[in-house]
Amino acid sequence: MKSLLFSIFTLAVLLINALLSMRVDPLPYTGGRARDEEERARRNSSSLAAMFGEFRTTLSDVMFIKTERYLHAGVGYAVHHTAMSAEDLAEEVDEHQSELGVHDDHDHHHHDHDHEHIEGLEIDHEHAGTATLIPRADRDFRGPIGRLHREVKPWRDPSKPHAHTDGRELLPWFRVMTMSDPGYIQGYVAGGFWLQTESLDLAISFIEEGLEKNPDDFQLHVSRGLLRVRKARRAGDLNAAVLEPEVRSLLELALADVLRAAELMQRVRPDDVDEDGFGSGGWGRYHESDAMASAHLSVSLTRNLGDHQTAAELARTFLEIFPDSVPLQRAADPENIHHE
Amino acid sequence: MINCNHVLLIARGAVLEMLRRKDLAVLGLFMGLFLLLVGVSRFVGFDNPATGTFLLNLSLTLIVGLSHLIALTMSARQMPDELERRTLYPLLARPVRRADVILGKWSASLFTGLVVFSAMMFLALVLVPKLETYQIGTLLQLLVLQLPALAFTAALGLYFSMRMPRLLGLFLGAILVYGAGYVVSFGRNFPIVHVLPNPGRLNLVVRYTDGVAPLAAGEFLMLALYACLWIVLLVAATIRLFHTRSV
Repeated sequence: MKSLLFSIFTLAVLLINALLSMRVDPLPYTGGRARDEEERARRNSSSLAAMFGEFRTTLSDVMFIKTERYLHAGVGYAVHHTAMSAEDLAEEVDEHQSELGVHDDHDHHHHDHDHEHIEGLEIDHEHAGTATLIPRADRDFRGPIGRLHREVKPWRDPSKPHAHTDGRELLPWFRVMTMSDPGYIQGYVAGGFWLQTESLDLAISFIEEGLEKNPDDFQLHVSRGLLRVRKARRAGDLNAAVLEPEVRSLLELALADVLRAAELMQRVRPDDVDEDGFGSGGWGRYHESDAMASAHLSVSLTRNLGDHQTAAELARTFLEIFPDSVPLQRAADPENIHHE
Repeated sequence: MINCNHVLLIARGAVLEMLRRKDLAVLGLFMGLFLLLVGVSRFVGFDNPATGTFLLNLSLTLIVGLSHLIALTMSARQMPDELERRTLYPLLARPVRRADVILGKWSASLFTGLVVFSAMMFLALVLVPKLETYQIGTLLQLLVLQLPALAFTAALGLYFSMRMPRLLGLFLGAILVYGAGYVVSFGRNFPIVHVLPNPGRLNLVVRYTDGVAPLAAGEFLMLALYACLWIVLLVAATIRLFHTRSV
Protein backbone atom coordinates (compact mmCIF):
# COMPACT_ATOMS: atom_id res chain seq x y z
CA MET A 1 0.00 0.00 0.00
CA LYS A 2 2.84 2.36 0.97
CA SER A 3 4.62 1.55 -2.27
CA LEU A 4 1.51 2.30 -4.29
CA LEU A 5 1.00 5.62 -2.53
CA PHE A 6 4.64 6.55 -3.06
CA SER A 7 4.40 5.66 -6.76
CA ILE A 8 1.30 7.84 -7.13
CA PHE A 9 3.08 10.66 -5.29
CA THR A 10 6.13 10.29 -7.55
CA LEU A 11 4.03 10.36 -10.70
CA ALA A 12 2.09 13.38 -9.48
CA VAL A 13 5.29 15.30 -8.68
CA LEU A 14 6.85 14.41 -12.05
CA LEU A 15 3.73 15.54 -13.87
CA ILE A 16 3.37 18.80 -11.95
CA ASN A 17 7.07 19.57 -12.34
CA ALA A 18 7.01 18.84 -16.07
CA LEU A 19 4.10 21.27 -16.40
CA LEU A 20 5.89 23.87 -14.28
CA SER A 21 9.06 23.36 -16.31
CA MET A 22 7.18 23.95 -19.56
CA ARG A 23 5.44 27.00 -18.14
CA VAL A 24 8.23 28.80 -16.29
CA ASP A 25 11.65 29.42 -17.73
CA PRO A 26 13.45 32.53 -16.48
CA LEU A 27 15.89 32.70 -19.40
CA PRO A 28 13.99 33.39 -22.63
CA TYR A 29 13.41 37.06 -21.89
CA THR A 30 13.32 39.88 -24.38
CA GLY A 31 15.92 42.64 -24.33
CA GLY A 32 18.93 42.42 -22.04
CA ARG A 33 22.55 43.34 -22.64
CA ALA A 34 23.69 39.92 -23.88
CA ARG A 35 21.49 40.29 -26.95
CA ASP A 36 22.60 43.86 -27.61
CA GLU A 37 25.04 43.87 -30.56
CA GLU A 38 26.65 47.17 -29.64
CA GLU A 39 27.10 46.08 -26.04
CA ARG A 40 28.66 42.81 -27.16
CA ALA A 41 30.99 44.64 -29.51
CA ARG A 42 32.10 46.94 -26.67
CA ARG A 43 32.62 44.00 -24.32
CA ASN A 44 34.47 41.98 -26.95
CA SER A 45 36.85 44.82 -27.64
CA SER A 46 38.07 44.97 -24.04
CA SER A 47 41.33 43.40 -22.95
CA LEU A 48 39.51 41.55 -20.16
CA ALA A 49 37.15 39.90 -22.61
CA ALA A 50 40.15 38.86 -24.67
CA MET A 51 41.75 37.33 -21.56
CA PHE A 52 38.65 35.48 -20.49
CA GLY A 53 37.08 35.29 -23.91
CA GLU A 54 36.58 31.55 -23.72
CA PHE A 55 34.40 31.83 -20.61
CA ARG A 56 31.29 32.77 -22.53
CA THR A 57 28.09 32.27 -20.66
CA THR A 58 25.90 30.79 -23.31
CA LEU A 59 26.36 27.69 -25.34
CA SER A 60 25.55 29.59 -28.53
CA ASP A 61 28.39 32.01 -27.88
CA VAL A 62 30.82 29.19 -27.16
CA MET A 63 29.83 27.50 -30.39
CA PHE A 64 30.10 30.76 -32.30
CA ILE A 65 33.67 31.15 -31.02
CA LYS A 66 34.41 27.56 -32.00
CA THR A 67 33.01 28.06 -35.48
CA GLU A 68 35.06 31.21 -35.88
CA ARG A 69 38.16 29.30 -34.77
CA TYR A 70 37.39 26.64 -37.35
CA LEU A 71 36.86 29.22 -40.08
CA HIS A 72 40.35 30.53 -39.32
CA ALA A 73 41.85 27.07 -39.88
CA GLY A 74 42.17 26.46 -36.14
CA VAL A 75 44.11 29.65 -35.42
CA GLY A 76 42.78 31.50 -32.38
CA TYR A 77 42.63 35.24 -33.03
CA ALA A 78 41.91 37.86 -30.39
CA VAL A 79 38.22 38.72 -30.29
CA HIS A 80 37.71 41.00 -33.27
CA HIS A 81 34.31 40.29 -34.63
CA THR A 82 30.74 41.15 -33.92
CA ALA A 83 29.47 38.71 -36.53
CA MET A 84 31.06 36.68 -39.24
CA SER A 85 27.81 35.97 -40.93
CA ALA A 86 26.56 39.49 -41.48
CA GLU A 87 29.77 40.45 -43.21
CA ASP A 88 29.34 37.55 -45.59
CA LEU A 89 25.70 38.33 -46.01
CA ALA A 90 26.56 41.92 -46.87
CA GLU A 91 28.79 40.63 -49.65
CA GLU A 92 25.91 38.55 -50.85
CA VAL A 93 23.69 41.61 -50.73
CA ASP A 94 26.14 43.60 -52.81
CA GLU A 95 26.49 40.78 -55.27
CA HIS A 96 22.75 40.60 -55.75
CA GLN A 97 22.43 44.34 -55.90
CA SER A 98 24.97 44.36 -58.71
CA GLU A 99 23.08 41.63 -60.46
CA LEU A 100 19.92 43.61 -60.14
CA GLY A 101 21.49 46.78 -61.40
CA VAL A 102 21.78 48.54 -58.05
CA HIS A 103 25.28 49.72 -57.18
CA ASP A 104 25.74 50.55 -53.56
CA ASP A 105 27.92 53.45 -52.52
CA HIS A 106 29.59 51.17 -49.98
CA ASP A 107 30.36 48.53 -52.61
CA HIS A 108 34.02 49.38 -52.48
CA HIS A 109 34.21 48.22 -48.88
CA HIS A 110 33.27 44.69 -49.73
CA HIS A 111 34.73 44.49 -53.21
CA ASP A 112 38.08 45.57 -51.88
CA HIS A 113 38.32 42.13 -50.33
CA ASP A 114 41.46 40.63 -51.72
CA HIS A 115 40.93 36.87 -51.65
CA GLU A 116 43.08 34.12 -53.11
CA HIS A 117 42.97 30.35 -52.69
CA ILE A 118 45.92 28.27 -51.54
CA GLU A 119 45.66 24.55 -50.71
CA GLY A 120 41.92 24.71 -50.28
CA LEU A 121 42.06 27.67 -47.91
CA GLU A 122 40.77 31.09 -48.77
CA ILE A 123 43.39 33.69 -47.91
CA ASP A 124 41.82 36.92 -46.70
CA HIS A 125 44.24 39.82 -46.96
CA GLU A 126 41.80 42.35 -45.58
CA HIS A 127 41.85 41.00 -42.04
CA ALA A 128 45.61 40.72 -41.74
CA GLY A 129 46.98 42.31 -38.59
CA THR A 130 44.49 41.01 -35.99
CA ALA A 131 46.42 39.67 -32.99
CA THR A 132 46.46 35.93 -32.39
CA LEU A 133 45.74 34.49 -28.93
CA ILE A 134 49.18 32.83 -28.98
CA PRO A 135 51.53 35.82 -29.36
CA ARG A 136 54.29 36.32 -31.91
CA ALA A 137 57.84 35.31 -30.92
CA ASP A 138 58.96 38.91 -30.42
CA ARG A 139 56.07 39.54 -28.05
CA ASP A 140 56.19 36.25 -26.17
CA PHE A 141 58.15 36.28 -22.92
CA ARG A 142 57.94 32.48 -22.62
CA GLY A 143 60.87 31.79 -24.94
CA PRO A 144 61.20 28.09 -25.84
CA ILE A 145 57.80 27.29 -24.26
CA GLY A 146 56.17 29.89 -26.47
CA ARG A 147 57.99 28.46 -29.50
CA LEU A 148 56.74 24.99 -28.61
CA HIS A 149 53.21 26.39 -28.15
CA ARG A 150 53.30 27.89 -31.64
CA GLU A 151 54.61 24.63 -33.08
CA VAL A 152 52.07 22.28 -31.53
CA LYS A 153 48.95 24.46 -31.82
CA PRO A 154 47.49 25.89 -35.03
CA TRP A 155 49.15 29.27 -35.36
CA ARG A 156 49.71 31.81 -38.09
CA ASP A 157 51.74 34.98 -38.04
CA PRO A 158 49.14 37.68 -37.29
CA SER A 159 50.78 40.05 -39.77
CA LYS A 160 49.94 37.56 -42.54
CA PRO A 161 46.48 37.35 -44.09
CA HIS A 162 43.92 35.09 -42.40
CA ALA A 163 43.35 31.63 -43.85
CA HIS A 164 39.66 30.72 -44.08
CA THR A 165 38.30 27.18 -44.33
CA ASP A 166 35.08 26.08 -45.98
CA GLY A 167 32.22 26.77 -43.55
CA ARG A 168 30.00 23.98 -44.84
CA GLU A 169 31.44 21.54 -42.32
CA LEU A 170 30.12 23.81 -39.60
CA LEU A 171 26.49 23.40 -40.58
CA PRO A 172 25.66 20.99 -37.73
CA TRP A 173 27.06 23.52 -35.27
CA PHE A 174 24.83 26.29 -36.56
CA ARG A 175 21.96 23.83 -36.14
CA VAL A 176 22.91 23.15 -32.50
CA MET A 177 23.36 26.91 -31.92
CA THR A 178 19.82 27.66 -33.01
CA MET A 179 18.43 24.68 -31.13
CA SER A 180 19.99 25.84 -27.90
CA ASP A 181 18.85 29.42 -28.44
CA PRO A 182 16.06 29.87 -31.00
CA GLY A 183 16.46 33.64 -30.68
CA TYR A 184 20.07 33.53 -31.90
CA ILE A 185 19.57 35.32 -35.23
CA GLN A 186 23.26 35.20 -36.18
CA GLY A 187 23.13 31.42 -36.06
CA TYR A 188 20.24 31.31 -38.53
CA VAL A 189 21.76 33.91 -40.85
CA ALA A 190 25.23 32.37 -40.88
CA GLY A 191 23.86 28.82 -41.09
CA GLY A 192 21.55 29.81 -43.96
CA PHE A 193 24.47 31.45 -45.74
CA TRP A 194 26.58 28.28 -45.67
CA LEU A 195 23.64 25.98 -46.25
CA GLN A 196 22.87 27.67 -49.58
CA THR A 197 26.13 26.29 -50.94
CA GLU A 198 24.62 22.82 -50.43
CA SER A 199 20.99 23.46 -51.22
CA LEU A 200 19.04 26.68 -51.61
CA ASP A 201 15.80 24.99 -50.58
CA LEU A 202 17.37 23.70 -47.37
CA ALA A 203 18.77 27.15 -46.65
CA ILE A 204 15.34 28.71 -47.17
CA SER A 205 13.67 26.18 -44.87
CA PHE A 206 16.36 26.82 -42.22
CA ILE A 207 15.68 30.56 -42.40
CA GLU A 208 11.94 29.84 -42.30
CA GLU A 209 12.46 27.88 -39.11
CA GLY A 210 14.09 31.00 -37.70
CA LEU A 211 11.17 33.09 -38.93
CA GLU A 212 8.71 30.80 -37.17
CA LYS A 213 10.43 31.57 -33.89
CA ASN A 214 11.32 35.18 -34.69
CA PRO A 215 8.60 36.37 -37.08
CA ASP A 216 9.41 40.05 -36.58
CA ASP A 217 13.14 39.89 -37.21
CA PHE A 218 13.81 41.88 -40.35
CA GLN A 219 17.25 40.33 -40.98
CA LEU A 220 15.70 36.90 -41.42
CA HIS A 221 13.22 38.30 -43.96
CA VAL A 222 16.15 39.88 -45.84
CA SER A 223 17.97 36.54 -45.77
CA ARG A 224 15.01 34.66 -47.22
CA GLY A 225 14.55 37.35 -49.86
CA LEU A 226 18.20 37.05 -50.89
CA LEU A 227 17.99 33.29 -51.09
CA ARG A 228 14.90 33.52 -53.29
CA VAL A 229 16.66 36.00 -55.57
CA ARG A 230 19.53 33.56 -55.91
CA LYS A 231 17.08 30.79 -56.67
CA ALA A 232 15.45 32.98 -59.31
CA ARG A 233 18.85 33.71 -60.83
CA ARG A 234 19.45 29.99 -61.20
CA ALA A 235 16.03 29.59 -62.81
CA GLY A 236 16.58 32.18 -65.51
CA ASP A 237 17.66 35.67 -66.56
CA LEU A 238 16.56 38.31 -64.07
CA ASN A 239 17.08 41.14 -66.54
CA ALA A 240 15.13 39.60 -69.40
CA ALA A 241 12.54 41.86 -71.01
CA VAL A 242 9.89 39.23 -70.32
CA LEU A 243 10.59 37.21 -67.18
CA GLU A 244 9.98 33.48 -67.21
CA PRO A 245 6.97 32.52 -65.02
CA GLU A 246 9.12 30.71 -62.43
CA VAL A 247 11.57 33.60 -62.20
CA ARG A 248 8.74 36.10 -61.90
CA SER A 249 7.06 34.06 -59.18
CA LEU A 250 10.30 33.78 -57.19
CA LEU A 251 11.06 37.47 -57.58
CA GLU A 252 7.55 38.31 -56.38
CA LEU A 253 8.10 36.17 -53.29
CA ALA A 254 11.50 37.78 -52.73
CA LEU A 255 9.95 41.22 -53.12
CA ALA A 256 7.32 40.36 -50.50
CA ASP A 257 10.16 39.32 -48.18
CA VAL A 258 12.24 42.45 -48.59
CA LEU A 259 9.19 44.75 -48.41
CA ARG A 260 8.21 43.07 -45.14
CA ALA A 261 11.83 43.37 -43.98
CA ALA A 262 11.85 47.07 -44.85
CA GLU A 263 8.58 47.59 -42.99
CA LEU A 264 9.89 45.80 -39.87
CA MET A 265 13.25 47.56 -40.18
CA GLN A 266 11.58 51.00 -40.07
CA ARG A 267 9.90 50.03 -36.81
CA VAL A 268 13.14 49.10 -35.05
CA ARG A 269 15.81 51.29 -36.69
CA PRO A 270 16.78 54.10 -34.29
CA ASP A 271 17.00 57.72 -35.48
CA ASP A 272 20.54 58.23 -34.19
CA VAL A 273 22.47 55.86 -36.48
CA ASP A 274 25.98 57.26 -37.02
CA GLU A 275 28.08 57.06 -40.16
CA ASP A 276 29.59 53.74 -39.02
CA GLY A 277 26.14 52.21 -38.81
CA PHE A 278 25.87 52.14 -35.01
CA GLY A 279 22.83 53.47 -33.19
CA SER A 280 21.06 53.23 -29.87
CA GLY A 281 19.19 50.14 -28.68
CA GLY A 282 21.85 47.72 -29.90
CA TRP A 283 21.73 48.76 -33.56
CA GLY A 284 24.99 47.67 -35.19
CA ARG A 285 26.74 47.92 -38.53
CA TYR A 286 25.24 44.63 -39.62
CA HIS A 287 21.72 45.75 -38.85
CA GLU A 288 22.38 48.86 -40.90
CA SER A 289 23.80 46.85 -43.77
CA ASP A 290 20.73 44.60 -43.82
CA ALA A 291 18.42 47.59 -43.43
CA MET A 292 19.96 49.18 -46.54
CA ALA A 293 19.75 45.85 -48.34
CA SER A 294 16.02 45.65 -47.61
CA ALA A 295 15.52 49.15 -49.04
CA HIS A 296 17.75 48.66 -52.10
CA LEU A 297 16.30 45.26 -52.93
CA SER A 298 12.74 46.51 -52.51
CA VAL A 299 13.43 49.14 -55.15
CA SER A 300 15.43 46.97 -57.51
CA LEU A 301 13.08 43.99 -57.39
CA THR A 302 10.06 46.21 -57.98
CA ARG A 303 11.87 47.59 -61.03
CA ASN A 304 12.85 44.13 -62.22
CA LEU A 305 9.21 43.16 -62.08
CA GLY A 306 8.48 46.05 -64.43
CA ASP A 307 6.87 48.57 -62.10
CA HIS A 308 9.26 51.50 -62.53
CA GLN A 309 6.88 54.10 -61.16
CA THR A 310 6.39 52.26 -57.84
CA ALA A 311 10.14 51.61 -57.66
CA ALA A 312 10.80 55.35 -57.89
CA GLU A 313 8.19 56.05 -55.22
CA LEU A 314 9.74 53.44 -52.95
CA ALA A 315 13.19 54.92 -53.54
CA ARG A 316 11.89 58.36 -52.55
CA THR A 317 10.37 56.89 -49.38
CA PHE A 318 13.58 55.10 -48.43
CA LEU A 319 15.66 58.19 -49.18
CA GLU A 320 14.08 59.72 -46.08
CA ILE A 321 15.83 56.98 -44.09
CA PHE A 322 19.03 56.70 -46.14
CA PRO A 323 19.48 60.16 -47.68
CA ASP A 324 23.09 59.46 -48.74
CA SER A 325 22.32 56.31 -50.66
CA VAL A 326 23.45 56.84 -54.25
CA PRO A 327 21.46 53.87 -55.66
CA LEU A 328 18.28 55.20 -54.09
CA GLN A 329 18.97 58.72 -55.36
CA ARG A 330 19.47 57.29 -58.84
CA ALA A 331 16.35 55.17 -58.64
CA ALA A 332 14.29 58.12 -57.39
CA ASP A 333 15.43 60.38 -60.22
CA PRO A 334 12.48 60.73 -62.68
CA GLU A 335 14.90 60.83 -65.61
CA ASN A 336 16.22 57.38 -64.76
CA ILE A 337 12.77 55.82 -64.63
CA HIS A 338 12.33 55.97 -68.38
CA HIS A 339 15.94 55.13 -69.15
CA GLU A 340 15.72 51.74 -67.45
CA MET B 1 8.27 11.73 13.45
CA ILE B 2 11.47 13.60 12.58
CA ASN B 3 13.69 14.39 15.56
CA CYS B 4 15.24 17.79 14.87
CA ASN B 5 17.97 17.33 17.48
CA HIS B 6 19.11 14.13 15.81
CA VAL B 7 19.06 15.78 12.40
CA LEU B 8 21.12 18.71 13.66
CA LEU B 9 23.63 16.43 15.41
CA ILE B 10 24.12 14.33 12.29
CA ALA B 11 24.46 17.45 10.16
CA ARG B 12 27.02 18.86 12.59
CA GLY B 13 28.96 15.62 12.44
CA ALA B 14 29.00 15.71 8.64
CA VAL B 15 30.23 19.30 8.60
CA LEU B 16 32.95 18.51 11.15
CA GLU B 17 34.00 15.56 9.03
CA MET B 18 34.27 17.88 6.06
CA LEU B 19 36.48 20.22 8.08
CA ARG B 20 38.58 17.28 9.25
CA ARG B 21 39.15 16.17 5.68
CA LYS B 22 40.68 19.59 4.95
CA ASP B 23 37.99 20.35 2.40
CA LEU B 24 38.14 23.86 3.77
CA ALA B 25 41.65 24.21 2.33
CA VAL B 26 40.29 23.39 -1.13
CA LEU B 27 37.57 25.96 -0.62
CA GLY B 28 40.17 28.48 0.48
CA LEU B 29 42.13 27.74 -2.69
CA PHE B 30 39.08 28.41 -4.85
CA MET B 31 38.38 31.61 -2.99
CA GLY B 32 41.99 32.64 -3.44
CA LEU B 33 41.72 31.99 -7.19
CA PHE B 34 38.54 33.99 -7.32
CA LEU B 35 40.17 36.90 -5.48
CA LEU B 36 43.11 36.65 -7.86
CA LEU B 37 40.73 36.85 -10.82
CA VAL B 38 39.04 39.94 -9.43
CA GLY B 39 42.38 41.46 -8.41
CA VAL B 40 43.93 40.91 -11.87
CA SER B 41 40.82 42.35 -13.50
CA ARG B 42 40.94 45.45 -11.33
CA PHE B 43 44.65 45.80 -12.03
CA VAL B 44 44.15 45.45 -15.80
CA GLY B 45 41.27 47.89 -15.53
CA PHE B 46 37.89 48.09 -17.17
CA ASP B 47 37.97 49.51 -20.68
CA ASN B 48 34.24 50.18 -20.55
CA PRO B 49 31.19 49.45 -18.34
CA ALA B 50 30.33 46.40 -20.44
CA THR B 51 33.60 44.81 -19.29
CA GLY B 52 32.52 45.29 -15.68
CA THR B 53 29.30 43.43 -16.47
CA PHE B 54 31.32 40.71 -18.16
CA LEU B 55 33.41 40.23 -15.01
CA LEU B 56 30.31 40.33 -12.79
CA ASN B 57 28.67 37.65 -14.93
CA LEU B 58 31.82 35.54 -14.93
CA SER B 59 32.20 35.85 -11.14
CA LEU B 60 28.58 35.04 -10.30
CA THR B 61 28.53 32.13 -12.75
CA LEU B 62 31.68 30.70 -11.12
CA ILE B 63 30.25 31.18 -7.64
CA VAL B 64 26.95 29.48 -8.43
CA GLY B 65 28.76 26.68 -10.27
CA LEU B 66 31.26 26.14 -7.45
CA SER B 67 28.72 26.18 -4.62
CA HIS B 68 26.59 23.60 -6.46
CA LEU B 69 29.69 21.49 -7.06
CA ILE B 70 30.49 21.57 -3.34
CA ALA B 71 26.90 20.67 -2.39
CA LEU B 72 26.84 17.88 -4.96
CA THR B 73 30.21 16.31 -4.10
CA MET B 74 29.54 16.51 -0.39
CA SER B 75 26.07 14.96 -0.63
CA ALA B 76 27.25 12.28 -3.06
CA ARG B 77 29.92 10.98 -0.71
CA GLN B 78 28.02 11.11 2.60
CA MET B 79 26.37 7.70 2.59
CA PRO B 80 29.02 5.75 0.61
CA ASP B 81 31.74 7.05 2.99
CA GLU B 82 29.74 6.05 6.07
CA LEU B 83 29.11 2.60 4.62
CA GLU B 84 32.73 2.16 3.56
CA ARG B 85 34.12 3.17 6.94
CA ARG B 86 31.35 1.23 8.72
CA THR B 87 30.64 4.25 10.90
CA LEU B 88 26.96 4.04 10.01
CA TYR B 89 26.40 0.94 12.13
CA PRO B 90 27.15 2.51 15.54
CA LEU B 91 24.94 5.43 14.50
CA LEU B 92 22.03 3.18 13.57
CA ALA B 93 22.51 1.20 16.79
CA ARG B 94 21.32 4.29 18.63
CA PRO B 95 17.70 5.37 18.74
CA VAL B 96 18.04 7.33 15.51
CA ARG B 97 15.56 7.01 12.67
CA ARG B 98 16.91 6.41 9.19
CA ALA B 99 15.02 9.45 7.97
CA ASP B 100 16.95 11.56 10.52
CA VAL B 101 20.24 10.31 9.09
CA ILE B 102 19.27 11.22 5.52
CA LEU B 103 17.89 14.59 6.55
CA GLY B 104 21.02 15.30 8.58
CA LYS B 105 23.33 14.47 5.69
CA TRP B 106 21.21 16.48 3.29
CA SER B 107 21.14 19.50 5.65
CA ALA B 108 24.92 19.37 6.04
CA SER B 109 25.44 19.36 2.26
CA LEU B 110 22.99 22.23 1.86
CA PHE B 111 24.62 24.17 4.69
CA THR B 112 28.10 23.77 3.18
CA GLY B 113 26.92 24.84 -0.26
CA LEU B 114 25.17 27.84 1.26
CA VAL B 115 28.24 28.91 3.25
CA VAL B 116 30.41 28.78 0.12
CA PHE B 117 27.77 30.63 -1.91
CA SER B 118 27.21 33.31 0.73
CA ALA B 119 30.90 33.95 1.41
CA MET B 120 31.90 34.20 -2.23
CA MET B 121 28.79 36.12 -3.22
CA PHE B 122 29.53 38.66 -0.50
CA LEU B 123 33.05 39.10 -1.85
CA ALA B 124 31.81 39.38 -5.43
CA LEU B 125 29.15 41.93 -4.63
CA VAL B 126 31.63 44.02 -2.66
CA LEU B 127 34.70 43.71 -4.90
CA VAL B 128 33.37 43.54 -8.45
CA PRO B 129 32.46 47.05 -9.60
CA LYS B 130 28.95 47.44 -10.93
CA LEU B 131 29.39 49.84 -13.80
CA GLU B 132 25.99 49.43 -15.43
CA THR B 133 22.45 49.41 -14.09
CA TYR B 134 21.17 46.18 -12.59
CA GLN B 135 17.82 45.35 -11.09
CA ILE B 136 18.01 44.93 -7.32
CA GLY B 137 14.81 42.87 -7.41
CA THR B 138 16.44 40.38 -9.77
CA LEU B 139 19.45 40.16 -7.45
CA LEU B 140 17.19 39.42 -4.48
CA GLN B 141 15.39 36.73 -6.46
CA LEU B 142 18.74 35.28 -7.53
CA LEU B 143 19.92 35.10 -3.92
CA VAL B 144 16.66 33.68 -2.54
CA LEU B 145 16.34 31.03 -5.27
CA GLN B 146 19.81 29.71 -4.61
CA LEU B 147 18.58 28.27 -1.30
CA PRO B 148 16.11 25.82 -2.92
CA ALA B 149 18.53 25.35 -5.83
CA LEU B 150 21.34 24.17 -3.52
CA ALA B 151 18.89 22.04 -1.54
CA PHE B 152 17.77 20.52 -4.85
CA THR B 153 21.37 19.73 -5.86
CA ALA B 154 22.16 18.24 -2.45
CA ALA B 155 19.04 16.03 -2.64
CA LEU B 156 20.03 14.91 -6.13
CA GLY B 157 23.55 13.95 -5.02
CA LEU B 158 22.25 12.05 -2.01
CA TYR B 159 19.64 10.18 -4.06
CA PHE B 160 22.14 9.10 -6.74
CA SER B 161 24.65 8.02 -4.07
CA MET B 162 22.04 5.57 -2.74
CA ARG B 163 21.11 4.35 -6.19
CA MET B 164 24.46 3.71 -7.85
CA PRO B 165 28.24 3.70 -7.30
CA ARG B 166 29.54 6.99 -5.97
CA LEU B 167 31.46 8.14 -9.04
CA LEU B 168 28.67 7.29 -11.44
CA GLY B 169 26.18 9.06 -9.18
CA LEU B 170 28.40 12.10 -9.00
CA PHE B 171 28.81 12.11 -12.77
CA LEU B 172 25.08 11.82 -13.40
CA GLY B 173 24.34 14.47 -10.79
CA ALA B 174 26.84 16.85 -12.40
CA ILE B 175 25.31 16.25 -15.83
CA LEU B 176 21.89 17.16 -14.48
CA VAL B 177 23.04 20.16 -12.44
CA TYR B 178 25.13 21.68 -15.22
CA GLY B 179 23.67 20.18 -18.36
CA ALA B 180 19.94 19.60 -17.90
CA GLY B 181 19.24 23.16 -19.04
CA TYR B 182 20.91 22.49 -22.39
CA VAL B 183 19.05 19.20 -22.82
CA VAL B 184 15.76 20.97 -22.14
CA SER B 185 16.71 23.75 -24.58
CA PHE B 186 17.54 21.28 -27.34
CA GLY B 187 14.45 19.20 -26.80
CA ARG B 188 11.96 21.85 -25.74
CA ASN B 189 9.51 20.51 -28.30
CA PHE B 190 9.55 17.10 -26.61
CA PRO B 191 7.59 17.25 -23.32
CA ILE B 192 9.52 14.26 -21.94
CA VAL B 193 12.69 16.34 -21.40
CA HIS B 194 10.81 18.54 -18.94
CA VAL B 195 10.68 15.58 -16.55
CA LEU B 196 14.45 15.92 -16.03
CA PRO B 197 15.40 17.42 -12.67
CA ASN B 198 17.01 20.74 -13.54
CA PRO B 199 18.42 22.78 -10.63
CA GLY B 200 20.01 25.17 -13.16
CA ARG B 201 16.54 26.49 -13.95
CA LEU B 202 16.72 28.48 -10.71
CA ASN B 203 19.90 30.27 -11.76
CA LEU B 204 19.11 33.93 -12.48
CA VAL B 205 22.72 35.15 -12.91
CA VAL B 206 22.43 35.92 -16.64
CA ARG B 207 19.10 37.60 -16.08
CA TYR B 208 20.63 39.79 -13.37
CA THR B 209 23.80 40.76 -15.25
CA ASP B 210 21.74 41.42 -18.37
CA GLY B 211 19.87 44.12 -16.45
CA VAL B 212 16.52 42.37 -16.94
CA ALA B 213 13.57 43.04 -14.63
CA PRO B 214 12.71 40.56 -11.84
CA LEU B 215 10.38 37.66 -12.50
CA ALA B 216 6.71 38.23 -11.86
CA ALA B 217 5.61 37.04 -8.42
CA GLY B 218 3.69 34.12 -9.92
CA GLU B 219 6.69 32.93 -11.96
CA PHE B 220 8.99 33.27 -8.97
CA LEU B 221 6.67 31.23 -6.77
CA MET B 222 6.26 28.58 -9.46
CA LEU B 223 10.05 28.25 -9.71
CA ALA B 224 10.30 27.88 -5.93
CA LEU B 225 7.48 25.31 -5.99
CA TYR B 226 9.25 23.43 -8.79
CA ALA B 227 12.39 23.13 -6.65
CA CYS B 228 10.49 22.27 -3.46
CA LEU B 229 8.56 19.46 -5.13
CA TRP B 230 11.77 17.95 -6.48
CA ILE B 231 13.45 18.24 -3.08
CA VAL B 232 10.55 16.52 -1.31
CA LEU B 233 10.45 13.76 -3.91
CA LEU B 234 14.21 13.14 -3.95
CA VAL B 235 14.62 13.21 -0.16
CA ALA B 236 11.57 10.95 0.31
CA ALA B 237 12.89 8.55 -2.33
CA THR B 238 16.33 8.50 -0.65
CA ILE B 239 14.75 7.74 2.73
CA ARG B 240 12.74 4.91 1.16
CA LEU B 241 15.87 3.50 -0.47
CA PHE B 242 17.73 3.65 2.82
CA HIS B 243 14.86 1.83 4.55
CA THR B 244 14.94 -0.98 2.02
CA ARG B 245 18.71 -1.37 2.27
CA SER B 246 19.99 -4.11 4.51
CA VAL B 247 22.36 -1.99 6.54
